[in-house]
Amino acid sequence: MQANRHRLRLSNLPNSIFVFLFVFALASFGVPKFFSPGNLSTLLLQASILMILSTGMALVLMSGGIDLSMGGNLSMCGVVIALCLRDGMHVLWAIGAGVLCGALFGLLNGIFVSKMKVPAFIATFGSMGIAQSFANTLSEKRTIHWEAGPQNRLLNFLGGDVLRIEFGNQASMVLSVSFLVLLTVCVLICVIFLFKKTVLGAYIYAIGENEETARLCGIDTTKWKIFVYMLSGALASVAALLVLIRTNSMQPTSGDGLEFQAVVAAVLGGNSLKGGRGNLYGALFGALTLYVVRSSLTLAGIDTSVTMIVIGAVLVVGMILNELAVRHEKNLRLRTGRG
Amino acid sequence: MEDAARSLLEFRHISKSFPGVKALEDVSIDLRAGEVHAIVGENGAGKSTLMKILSGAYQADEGQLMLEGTPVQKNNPKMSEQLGIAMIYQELNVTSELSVANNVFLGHEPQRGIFINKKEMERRTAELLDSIGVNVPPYTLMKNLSIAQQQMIEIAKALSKNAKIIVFDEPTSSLTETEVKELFRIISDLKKKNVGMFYISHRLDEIFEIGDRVTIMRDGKKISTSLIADITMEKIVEGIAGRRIENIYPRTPCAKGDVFFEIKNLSGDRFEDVSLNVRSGEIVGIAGLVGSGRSEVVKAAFGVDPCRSGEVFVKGEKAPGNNPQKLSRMGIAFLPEDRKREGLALALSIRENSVISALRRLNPLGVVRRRQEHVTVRKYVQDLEISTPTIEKLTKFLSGGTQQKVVIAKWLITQAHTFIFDEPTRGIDIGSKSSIYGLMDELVAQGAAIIMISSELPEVLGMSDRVYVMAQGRIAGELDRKDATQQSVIQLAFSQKGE
Amino acid sequence: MKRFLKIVTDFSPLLILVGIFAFFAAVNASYGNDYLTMSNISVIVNQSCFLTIIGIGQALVILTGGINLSIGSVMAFTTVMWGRMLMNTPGHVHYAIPMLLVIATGMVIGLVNGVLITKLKMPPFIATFAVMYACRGMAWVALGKKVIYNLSPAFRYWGTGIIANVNGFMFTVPMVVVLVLLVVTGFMLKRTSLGRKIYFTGSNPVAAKFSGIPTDRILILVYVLSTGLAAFGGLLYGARLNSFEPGMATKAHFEAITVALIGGIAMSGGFGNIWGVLCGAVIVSAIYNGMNTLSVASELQTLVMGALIILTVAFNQFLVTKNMALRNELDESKARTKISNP
Repeated sequence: MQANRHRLRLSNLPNSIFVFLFVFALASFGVPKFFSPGNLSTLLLQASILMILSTGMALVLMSGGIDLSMGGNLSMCGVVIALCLRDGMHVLWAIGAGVLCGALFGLLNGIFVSKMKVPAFIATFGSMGIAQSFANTLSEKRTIHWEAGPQNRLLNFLGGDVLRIEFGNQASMVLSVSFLVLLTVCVLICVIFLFKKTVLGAYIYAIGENEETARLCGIDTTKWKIFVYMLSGALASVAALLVLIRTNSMQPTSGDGLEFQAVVAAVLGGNSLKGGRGNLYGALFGALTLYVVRSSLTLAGIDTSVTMIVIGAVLVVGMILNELAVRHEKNLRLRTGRG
Repeated sequence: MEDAARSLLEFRHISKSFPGVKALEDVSIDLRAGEVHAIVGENGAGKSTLMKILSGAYQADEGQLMLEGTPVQKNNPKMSEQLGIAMIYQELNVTSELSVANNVFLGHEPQRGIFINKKEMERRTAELLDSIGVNVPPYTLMKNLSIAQQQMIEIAKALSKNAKIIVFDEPTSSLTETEVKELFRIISDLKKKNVGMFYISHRLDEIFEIGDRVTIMRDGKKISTSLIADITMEKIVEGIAGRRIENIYPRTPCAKGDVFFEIKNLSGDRFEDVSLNVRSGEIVGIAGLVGSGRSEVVKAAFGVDPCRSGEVFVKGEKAPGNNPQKLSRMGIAFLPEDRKREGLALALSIRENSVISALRRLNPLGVVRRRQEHVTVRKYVQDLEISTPTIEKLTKFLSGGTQQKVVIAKWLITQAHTFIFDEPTRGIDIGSKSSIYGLMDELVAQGAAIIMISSELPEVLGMSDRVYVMAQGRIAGELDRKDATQQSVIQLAFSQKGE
Repeated sequence: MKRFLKIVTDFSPLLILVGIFAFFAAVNASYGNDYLTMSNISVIVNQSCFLTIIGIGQALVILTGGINLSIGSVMAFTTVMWGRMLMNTPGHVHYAIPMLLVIATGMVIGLVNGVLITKLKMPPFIATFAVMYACRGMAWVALGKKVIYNLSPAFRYWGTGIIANVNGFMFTVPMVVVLVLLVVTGFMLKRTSLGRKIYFTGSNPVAAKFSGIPTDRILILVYVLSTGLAAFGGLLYGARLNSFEPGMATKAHFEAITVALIGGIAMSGGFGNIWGVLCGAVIVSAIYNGMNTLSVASELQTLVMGALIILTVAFNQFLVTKNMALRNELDESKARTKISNP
């Protein structure tokens, strides 16, 4: 019985892990400077932002929706935090304001989708414009900087390294894990914990697969859908914090287009746009895969324009692999289910 | 049973309508503690609608629901669950990505703080499954189970709620005989615990086995309620149909011609090595349990589903696989099981729906000839007695029977010669039903060939010249009209592979 | 009353359009600006032409229940690829050749879109997103950081030519082009077998398959048309700006979606009128124009657009259900009167 349990777990691994490992191995052997401590540190730091976003996106996708406003929401929350910092507010209050802002915007999305019954694509597509507009208006379309001071010492701390191992003298030989990566890991563990250990995960799957079924089981689908959008809004604001600390400033356009990358990462990770299927780890590895591709192509001296073409191709190939995996699983099930 | 006078639950004068249909009209039924109250009736008689009002999925337009003497206001699924009402639906309501334990306790998970108490949940699930004789580990994902197993999990789900009232809506449609025995044992246990149960089933013998009282419904109205001991099978059948049963299957024997449609050794996802054929002037029935692969075979033969191997011939000519367009051009018509999902574009009108498969024939140049289209559609609307004020009426506002007639019209306009009817009378009223039977008879009289799949045995026996019985994805046997009886078909349908 | 309500619901985009015009006319008048002049209206309509073209492309795809995100980058890639042949240099080929090449390239990319969606079963969102990324990249690869400018006047006439001036209302070549496109697409959708199949597929793809409609072929065709229209839109866009560059029209897919949705095309597929797209396009350009004359900051314009999309779709959705119910009731009552006075 225990062995059976284990086997089921293994077959449930998202196949994006294998795609990731494949791409990672390819990059490590094919691109000279890729597998260096310095590059891997940067890679992880860069990917953190997308990992947080794609986790939020995966939650929404599994519930049968989509949140296109994540990028705009990120810009808006970042601008809110930055403005608070510029006005000399304590950093914790600033972050609090940002997260609140993100969650409230998510609440708005949730109301559009589950109360007003506007299709998720359109509701969040529209609110993407609204969020971008807020970000631009509040910042007057300028990059926001703030004075360093005792009240925001936390930012420097978060921007620093939690671990630093020098394999050599050059920058590329230094493995440095930023506090931001640690923060990302903490946030992700929290989300995964919430997803696995509370009713959240079960309800998201149930709503995504068949909302009527969920309703008949006595689940308040309206409430839970709103909650999912709030969660994805809050995660967008955490991503905003990461952007803000990394660049030590905030541009009102920094989130533009990130929502699409988040969708791509989540879908590469095996999340279906139809809902009811997928998982959070998949989205994480989808995000990592995207950054491995990007980083290795940059290191190999390939132009960013070619990178775009390659990412398009990776997406197509990844989707085909996912489809094949689903078919394989289905066949397996039919064969075993019969006996 | 000790307090028979006081009822546990009472429907008082319930009425409910949907666009185009009056689903329930002034229905009053009561349920006592510790009894099994069977409800019988045709599909579309209003049984499921009534139960959905009990579960809070629908709201009644008029009337009152009384639970232990107090009226239930503004029922909803959450509330009905709190009131101790549990449902086992005809359609499976499972979340395939979740574990069995999660499915059983979905919506009322045992919690410790905000967390799910997984150990407790799996322990209780294991207990429940044990008590109903299902041998599945609680952490298995639902998608890895067979249909019958999923059905048993649904039953466990209802039991997990410690309900006072349980509704069984066709629970045995996909269960094997041993599983049905197990289910009946559970039901008698529940009876002793004073649980009141509604039991909806088409299998009347089951009702005589476990029922205490029976209510007959027809066309949204209650016909009668009586003690099982006081009623006979014939009386029930008569009550369900509203007239003597013989009249509704009008079969005029006619000469059989060439083989129009033939499936040879077709294998696919849920069926293995199926061969069958139908001749001109013949109605061939396919019987079998739900999930035995009946629909899957014809879907694959028509090309909407893929198949692994095998061939399909139309009038001796080999048809390409996976190409419904080509098959429909070769003269095959397919009336799918789920007409709302697979048969009609509900947001489009009768006219637009009924010409969709014959566009090439009606408009050879690719430009729609509107006047001719109107004339054609009107003619078929009249011929089929489709009751509608205009042909521009949107199909979503039509009743089930009328919708089915529009799907038939769609294929008559293509001038097909072989018709595949998949559950042609599911969920439609008796009037439309008998006119569809009349139409089928007329079609074969004119030399068409018909394959009919049906879960309703009387229909299969009444209409078919030959019956194929499927079990577990294979043809279990072929019976002539004179050999096909309720008994022989059921025996074949339950036969196992090895036997 | 019911009949009136039905008419209202039939022409909802038009009503919004009238409302927008009235609103901006009033506000502008109170600031002493001219808004509802013939020349300004012709500016608005002229600006909406490009939006209408890509809007039709998007609308066709949305009618089948899909989406096309590749519009903007296809505009950039196809025109950049063949744009040099359109420059005003001595001895250049006739401008029709590169134009046809651009449209053909667009159609080939549309074919890729369609194959990814139908044969490889990718969701339209993802498939066209991948193509969008790839096309933008190819545009940059093809031209680098350069710009193609100084286009041949004969070609530019397609985007800027004026046919007649009636009381200050300029009839431009793009208007005529768009009108022709609308009539042709409208005819195709409403009066041909193909159009029937497109609506049916969008309304219920499963039933379409069961009815013997070659859904894969229909979808591929629709993506070919849509992407081809995008390429054509790119030509007119460049003709007006007198330049082609790899970074052009980065938001065109958004604009196309906006126009189609405001024009009353339902996201779920199978419902909508192609003339609504024209209304949608004029609404969008009327808003941009009106806000510009009021010198409202551009960042606020995205806010208005976003809110407008959500509200119109919520409103349209309400209207569509209402409209169908009204149509049904009218039919019933018509039938009753017919029976009562034969």
